[in-house]
Amino acid sequence: MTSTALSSNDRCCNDRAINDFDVAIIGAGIVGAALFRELSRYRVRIVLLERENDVALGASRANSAIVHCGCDPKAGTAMARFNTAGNRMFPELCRQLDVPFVQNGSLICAFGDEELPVLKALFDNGRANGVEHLEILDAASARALEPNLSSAVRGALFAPTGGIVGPYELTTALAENGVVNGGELLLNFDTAAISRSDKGPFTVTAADGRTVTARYVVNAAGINADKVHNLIARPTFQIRPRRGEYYVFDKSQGSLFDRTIFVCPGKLGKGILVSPTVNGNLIAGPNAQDGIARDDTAVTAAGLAEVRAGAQRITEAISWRDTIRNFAGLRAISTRDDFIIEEAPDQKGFFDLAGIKSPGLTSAPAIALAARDLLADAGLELVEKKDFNPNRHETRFLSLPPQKRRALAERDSAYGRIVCRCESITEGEIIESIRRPVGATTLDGVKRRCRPGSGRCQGGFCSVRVLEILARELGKDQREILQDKAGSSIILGTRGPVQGGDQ
Amino acid sequence: MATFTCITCPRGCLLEVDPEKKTVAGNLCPRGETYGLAEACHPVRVLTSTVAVRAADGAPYPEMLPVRTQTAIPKGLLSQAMDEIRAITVTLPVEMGEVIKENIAGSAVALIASRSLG
Amino acid sequence: MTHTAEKITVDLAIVGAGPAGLAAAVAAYDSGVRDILLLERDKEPGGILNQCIHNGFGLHVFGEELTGPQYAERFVRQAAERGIPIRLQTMVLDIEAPAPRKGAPFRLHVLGPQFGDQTIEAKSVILAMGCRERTRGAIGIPGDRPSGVFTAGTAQRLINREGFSVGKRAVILGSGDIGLIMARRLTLEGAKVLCVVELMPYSNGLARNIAQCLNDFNIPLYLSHTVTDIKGHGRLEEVTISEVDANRAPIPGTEKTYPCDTLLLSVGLIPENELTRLAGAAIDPRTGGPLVSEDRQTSIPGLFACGNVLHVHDLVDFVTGEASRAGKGAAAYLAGDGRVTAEEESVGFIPGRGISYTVPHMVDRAGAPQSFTVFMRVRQPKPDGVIVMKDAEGTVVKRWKRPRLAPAEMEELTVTREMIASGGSYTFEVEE
Repeated sequence: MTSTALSSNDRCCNDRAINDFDVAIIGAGIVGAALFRELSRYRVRIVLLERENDVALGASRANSAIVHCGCDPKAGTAMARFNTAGNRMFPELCRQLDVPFVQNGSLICAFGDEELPVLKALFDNGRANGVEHLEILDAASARALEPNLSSAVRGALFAPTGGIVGPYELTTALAENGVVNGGELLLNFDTAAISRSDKGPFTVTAADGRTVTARYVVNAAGINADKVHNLIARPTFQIRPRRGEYYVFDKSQGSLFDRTIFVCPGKLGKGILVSPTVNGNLIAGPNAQDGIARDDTAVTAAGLAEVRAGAQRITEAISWRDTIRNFAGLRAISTRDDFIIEEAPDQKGFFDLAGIKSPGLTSAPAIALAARDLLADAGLELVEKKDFNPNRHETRFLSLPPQKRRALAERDSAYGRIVCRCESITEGEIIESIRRPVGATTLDGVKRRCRPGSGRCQGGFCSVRVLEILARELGKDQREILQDKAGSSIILGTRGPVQGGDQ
Repeated sequence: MATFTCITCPRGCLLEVDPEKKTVAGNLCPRGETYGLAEACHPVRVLTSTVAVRAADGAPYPEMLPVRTQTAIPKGLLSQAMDEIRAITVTLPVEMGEVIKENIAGSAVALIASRSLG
Repeated sequence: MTHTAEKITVDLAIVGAGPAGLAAAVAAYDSGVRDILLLERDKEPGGILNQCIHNGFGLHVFGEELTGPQYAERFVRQAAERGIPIRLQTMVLDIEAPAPRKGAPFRLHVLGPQFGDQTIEAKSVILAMGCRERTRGAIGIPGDRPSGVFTAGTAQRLINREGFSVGKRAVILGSGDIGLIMARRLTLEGAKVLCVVELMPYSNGLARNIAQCLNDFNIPLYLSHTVTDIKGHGRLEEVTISEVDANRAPIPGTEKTYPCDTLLLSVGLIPENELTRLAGAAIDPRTGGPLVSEDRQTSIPGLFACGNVLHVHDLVDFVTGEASRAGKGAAAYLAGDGRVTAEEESVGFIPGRGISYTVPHMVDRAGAPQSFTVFMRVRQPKPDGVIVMKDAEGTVVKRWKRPRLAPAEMEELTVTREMIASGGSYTFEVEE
C-alpha cells in the first residue's frame, strides 16, 4: 500500500479546497471508476468525486452482473460498439485486478416458434457488431447444454463470449487501482455546484462546502447525470430511471445453469434473465418499471411476482424457497436512445458519460478509453507513468492451496478464524477489506468486498462480529458503524461499556 | 372469575380462577392451581436481564452478564427492578448463582448471576 | 486422540458444542466412549443458549426452571468434569463420508486458530450444528432496504450479549417464541413494541409466552396479518402491515402504518444442513434435516444428527433428550453393535393427515429400545385432538388424546416394541 493510497481516503482528507487537478470525475460507479483507473496510467492529476460514503452505490451495485456478448444493441449505435469492445477487455482486466469473472457463455432462448426469427435477427446483428463464435441451436441442443431449461424452449442463440462478473468488486478494484497509482478519491462529496471563470479551470463545490478545481470535468453521475450536466451546461438530455427488481438464490440453486439464460429482448430491454453468479448463487431479474423516483430502489410485491413469472418461463427448476435476497436497481435511461459520450456543446472541457444503461457494465472499460481519447483531443497531455502498476491482488483464503493456507494462518491467526460461516470468510480477509486503499467502512462495504453477509443467513450470525472488527480497525465506537449509506445506523445506544472507540 | 394462561410450563393450560372461592379449573397439574391462585391475587414473574461488567483490573469488559431474580418477584416491581439493574456494574470474576444484588426492588428476592464469567 | 501437524484421529467427533453437541458428548462418554472431540465455531461452548437469557429451560431435564446460560453452563460443566475436549473457533468446512466399509474413518476438514487448516479423522460423527433464522430475503417483504431490520436472534445477541440498544420503536413480524421473548425484552429495555404481527390465524409461539411476553405488557398481537411495506432510506422509518385472506394474500384497504425504527423478524428457523449434504446423507424435505433412525443415525452408517440440525425444537429439554439418544447411538456404533441394516428389519414412520413430519423417520426393530419417543408436529391447532398410529393395513395401533394440539408445540409420543411388532410402516395422523 502506498502513501498516496492512504492519504486518499476520506478519513484523512479534511482540506476544504484541493486545487490544480487536471481531471475531476464525478461519480464513482463503474464508468467513473474505469476512467479514473485508465487515467491513472498517465502523469495527470485526477480526482474521483463520489457523493456517497463508498464507491459503487448506484446502478453498479444493483444490476444483473452480466458481461454481455454484444448481440443485442442495434448495429451502428455507441452501445453496440462499446459492448463488443468492452467484452473483449474483461478477461485481461479482471485478471489484472483480481476480480471474479467467468466467461460462462449466454443462451438467448426462443420460447415459441414466433420467436425463432428473432434469434436469427440477433445472430445477424451480433455478427454485424463483431461478436464472435455465435451459433443458433435447436431446442434439443439448447437443452443438452442446459438441462434445466423449460421444455417450452424452441431454440437458442449461443454466445460463448458472454460472461458474468462481480460488478461492485470490479468497481471497487478499479477505484482502488486508480488510487494506488496516484489518483485521489473523495467520498461523501455531493456535487452541488460547478462553475468556471471564463475559460479557466472548473470549480466543483460539494454540498458541505468542499471544493476542487480541475481543468476538465467528466460527468459519470449515473442516475443523476442530467442534474450534474445542468449545473454548468445547457440541458441536452434527461435521465428517466427504470427500476429492475431481482431475486438472489442460495448456492444450492447456483448449479441449475452454467450459462446465462436470456429470453428474446422486448422494447423495455433484454427482459428477465436467469444466471449463475460468480460467487456461486443464482440470480433472476430484472423487470422494468418506468416513472420511478431517483432514490426509489424499493422492491414491490407486484414486481417480484413479475420477475418470478418471467423466470418461470425460462425454467421450472428453481426452488423459490431458497431465495436469500431481493433487491432493486435503477438503470439510467436517457431521453436519447444511445449512450451519451461527448463534450457538452456549450461548455468546452466538460464531458458527459451519461445514459449508460445496459450494457453499461460491459461497456465501461471501453467507454473509459473513449473518454480518455476525448480528453486528449481536448488538450489533455497524456504521458505514461513508468511506474504504473496495473495489478492488484486480494486474499481469498479458502481458494488457496492447503500449504499456503496453513502458512498464512500460522503467520496471522486471523486467517484461521472463520467469521462468515455461510461463505467461509476469515477474519483476515475482512480486516484486509477494511485496510485496503478504498477500504470498507460499513457492514455492506465489507459485504461487497469480501462477501460476509451475502450468504444464506444474510449476516444473521456474522454481522455482530463484522461490526466489532470494523469498529476496532477504524478506531470507532460500534454505534458509529453504519449498515450502508449515510443514516443507516445499526446500534442506537449502549448499556454496556463502549467498545472499540477508546483508543 | 378470571382466566389466565398458566406460564409454569410450556404446556400453557388455560386456567379459570375464582379468587373468592379459591378454585382453579383447566389445569392439568397441581402447579397450575398454585399459579392460578397467585396470578389472581398477587401475580409474580421471574425477571431476567443483563448487567454491565468490568474486568478485574477495572477495564470495560466487552460483554454483558446475564442475571435473573432467584425466584419470581411481584409483577408490579418489574419496572423498578429494571431501573436498579441498569445501574449495576459488576467486577469479574463472577460465578453462576452468585448474588449480584440482594433484595432487588425491595422484593426480598436476590438478583443472581445466570452464568460464570471471567 | 492422536495429533500431528496435519491430522488428528479420534473415535467420535461432534460438530457443534451447543446444547445438542454437549449432551451428545456427555451421553457418549457415559456410554463408554473416551476419545471424543467437540468442535465449536464460536468463542465459547453453549451455542444459542448463551444469548437466551430468559427463563423457561430445564423443567424436564433438571426439574427446575433455568435461564439459557444456566442450562448451558450445567452442560459445559458436565463435559468438563468428564474431560471432554472442546476446540473453539473451529469451523468444519467439509465432511467426507467413508466408502461403505467398516473401519474407514470420516474425514473432517477444519479451520481454526488452534489447528490452522487440518483434517480430523473420526470413526463416528455427530452433527449438532443447530439452525439459522429465516431472513427478510427468504420471505420477500416488499419495500426499501434500510438498516433497522433484524432477525430476532441477531437483535437478541446485540442486546443480551453486547448490551446494545437496537431501537426505540419496534414492530415484530412473526409470533414464534423468539419474537415473543424479544417483544418483552425490548419493552423491559425501554423500547416501545408497537405490535406483533403473525401471518397465520394462530400464533407459532407457546401460549405461556403470549401471556407473559405480550399480555403482561399490553402488546397487541395481530393474527392473519403481515408486513407489506418497509420505508426508510438510511434507517427504517415506517412499516406497513396488512390483513391477509385465507390464502395468506394481503387484503387491499387493510393497511396500517407504524412509524418505527426497528423491525424484528421471527419468521422461522432452518436446520443448517450444508455439512450434512456435503457428507451425502439423505435429507427429509419436510424437516430440512437428515433422515434418521431411532438412534439418530443418518442414512450414512456412523453419522448421527441431533438437535435443531435435525428438526427445529421448541424446548431445549427435548434437544437434550434427543442428543443423549444420539450419543448413546454413536457409542453403540463404535462398540460394534450398531444397527442391523437389513431392510426388512427397519420400520418406517410416515406423517399422515394433519401431521407435518415425524422424527425419527424409521426404527430398527431388532435394535430398538423397549420404548422410545416419536416426535412430530401437527399442521393445524385443534382443541381436544387425538393422534392415531396406524399400521400398514390401516389398523389403529394406538390413540393419544391431547387437550390441545398446536403446530407450535411438538408432540412426543411413546412407542413400544410391541406396537411395531407387525413391521412395515406406520402412519401417524390427526383423527378428524
